[in-house]
Amino acid sequence: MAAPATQQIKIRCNDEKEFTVDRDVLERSVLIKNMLEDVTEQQDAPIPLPNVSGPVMAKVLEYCTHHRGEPLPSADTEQSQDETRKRTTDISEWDQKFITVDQEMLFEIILAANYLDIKSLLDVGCKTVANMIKGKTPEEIRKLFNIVNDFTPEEEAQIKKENEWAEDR
Amino acid sequence: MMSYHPILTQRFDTSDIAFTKIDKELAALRDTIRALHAFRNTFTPVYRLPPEILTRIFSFVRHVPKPAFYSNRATPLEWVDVTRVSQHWRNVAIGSPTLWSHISSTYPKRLAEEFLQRSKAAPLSIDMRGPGSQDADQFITPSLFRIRELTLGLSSASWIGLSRNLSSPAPLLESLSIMITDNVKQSTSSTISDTTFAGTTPRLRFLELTGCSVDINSSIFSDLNALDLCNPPQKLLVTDLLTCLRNLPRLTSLVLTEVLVTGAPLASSNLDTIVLASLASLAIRGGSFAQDLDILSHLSFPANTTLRFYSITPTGEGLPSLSEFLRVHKASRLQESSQPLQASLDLRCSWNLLRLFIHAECNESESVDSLLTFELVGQWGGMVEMPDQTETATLFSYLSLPSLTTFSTNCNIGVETWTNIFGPLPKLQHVSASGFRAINLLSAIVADFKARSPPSSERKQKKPNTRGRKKGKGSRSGGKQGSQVASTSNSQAVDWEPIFPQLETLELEKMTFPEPVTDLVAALSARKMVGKEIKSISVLECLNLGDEVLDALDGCVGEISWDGYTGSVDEDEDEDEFGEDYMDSYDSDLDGYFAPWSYTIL
Repeated sequence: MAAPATQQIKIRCNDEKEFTVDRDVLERSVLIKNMLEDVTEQQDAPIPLPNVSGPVMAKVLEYCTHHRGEPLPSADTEQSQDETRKRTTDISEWDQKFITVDQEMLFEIILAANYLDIKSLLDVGCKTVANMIKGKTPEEIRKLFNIVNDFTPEEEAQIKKENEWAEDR
Repeated sequence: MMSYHPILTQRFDTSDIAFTKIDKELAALRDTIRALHAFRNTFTPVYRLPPEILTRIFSFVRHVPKPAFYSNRATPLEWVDVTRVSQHWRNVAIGSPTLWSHISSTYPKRLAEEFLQRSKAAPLSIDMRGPGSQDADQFITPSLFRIRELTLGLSSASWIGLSRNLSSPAPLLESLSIMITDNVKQSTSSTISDTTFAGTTPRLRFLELTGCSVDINSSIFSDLNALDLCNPPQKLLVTDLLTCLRNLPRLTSLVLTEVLVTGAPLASSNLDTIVLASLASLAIRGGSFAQDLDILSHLSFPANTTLRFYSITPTGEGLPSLSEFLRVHKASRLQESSQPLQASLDLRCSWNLLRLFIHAECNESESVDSLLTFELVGQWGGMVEMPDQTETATLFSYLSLPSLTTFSTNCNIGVETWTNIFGPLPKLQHVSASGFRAINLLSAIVADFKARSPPSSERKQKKPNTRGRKKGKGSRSGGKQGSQVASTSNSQAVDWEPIFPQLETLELEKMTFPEPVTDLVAALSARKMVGKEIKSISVLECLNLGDEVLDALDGCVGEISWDGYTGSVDEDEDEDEFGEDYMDSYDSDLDGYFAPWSYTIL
């Protein structure tokens, strides 16, 4: 039987930071939703989330609170979106503002969304990174993410060949 | 103390040995540097993202909207740059078959081959149109078992060659679009038949065929969600089409463009109704109105289905059956108590050289069937005559008008129709009328006032106030005045229900205001006194409208928006001795304006 919407749930992050959150907010995370459904009796002990830090969890909760009540993506939706060509990179205005953070935090949010199984947040993060990449040359992308060129001569030769193929149209 | 690389302290017997050893050492150092670079990359924040997330990001980078069917724009390949950033990114990207699963004829052939190879066993989306489509066979035939989406735009000769090889099942095919680009008259040269894909396309849901003949009995026509047939060389009979539709109970979208045999006999009325319970959109273009009606009369679909019928019919055909069409349209809807009516209907037909565009929007809030917005637009130069009053009344009687809030038209609607059909509508708030006969709307208001006016004692107070007004083309700014009259009169409202009882907004375009406006002012003032004031009148490119008329109207309506147009009938120099304007037809081509004296106002 579904629990009342006002039920408060405690969670504990890997830095011991604890949050007490409305159940419907937390249930944006499929991971936590499944955990709560598996628990038959009400427990006072906080749910441990060893892969998420307090500051990142605070951001995740900000997102979940804003989007509470929205329908969760069904398996069908997810399947159709898996057809990669159909993916768009549009992000809503609120989400764009929310995800305007430094790179370190951006990747942490993506990892947390992946771990907590919050598909919509994962997509917001991935789209943001994709939009950062779009329109940039490989060198510009390297600079953006502090990456250095580590290709072998063989790989460089193959890349050169592919470039020639691409220019062949 | 400075330390040297060991090789610098070595002695070499010959320079050849030295070169070999040094080159070897340099290579080893370069490898070390590359290894260090790769190791350094592992400490970057982005490296923390696991391959599956990186793939997800790449898929967003790769995203391009599906091009329109007729577009020949090259599919962008810039996303491939993600394979040129670092070893790690390259390995992740090349190791993700789905990223390479879209193959287009706009790709260079060698690159397309590489894509096909990298896609491994992933379901494919193949788009072969334009000059590169001659390689279609090479990419399609060997991969038929894993093609999910196939788009082809090719000549009939190319199709004949390719179709011979499309004889094995396509178990993953979900979407098929074929456009034969040359206009082939031979009926069988480009036929989709039961042998195509060995008749095995269990997942096919979207089928779009242009210029292809179809074997209506093919198993390809089953379980479809969307069917779009356009201009097949071999046209269909209505009965054949209905047979096909009977096998497609899950259709959500049906588009038929020039599909039917012209002048062919209609389907038997004894055929069972075909229930298309999921149909969201139905469009039939290029058929005759009678055929449209025939198809419609054999279908049943939800209340919110959007209908579009564009019938290019011979002169005189069509409109007489419009009323019947609308009756059938209503009757065709499935009776579902839980589903509110929220539909739109577009009709295009010809009638006596007149092209009519009818747009209707229905919504359901109170009654079972109600129309909220109705737009009746005719096109033939600027002269837009409606059929006679009886036919007009019949037409409107088949539309459920009691909930109508908005009506717009450029057609000639007579005073009687305005008075009897639209005048009593209890919820009509916005009316937009254009063309010189729009004056009939005002005439109806005046006629109603004269016939059923409130007591004369109330009318004494309706002298309008006159004030200055800004004007100027494009500004459409008017004065909001006359509130003093309203406050006085509201307290003395009488029991009089004028026509258009809830009318708030009136938009008039390209009509000639009556001269004088005394009767109109009297009628509008009377409405105001009984609390039925028209709050806003917008006038655009209207004649006979100057400060004097506007000032007269000012006191009896809430607000007048005027574009500043000051044209006058007296300014027309083309009028002959009988008052006929011999330049009318030319004028109408230029600005849609027709002088009112050429016609009898009903």
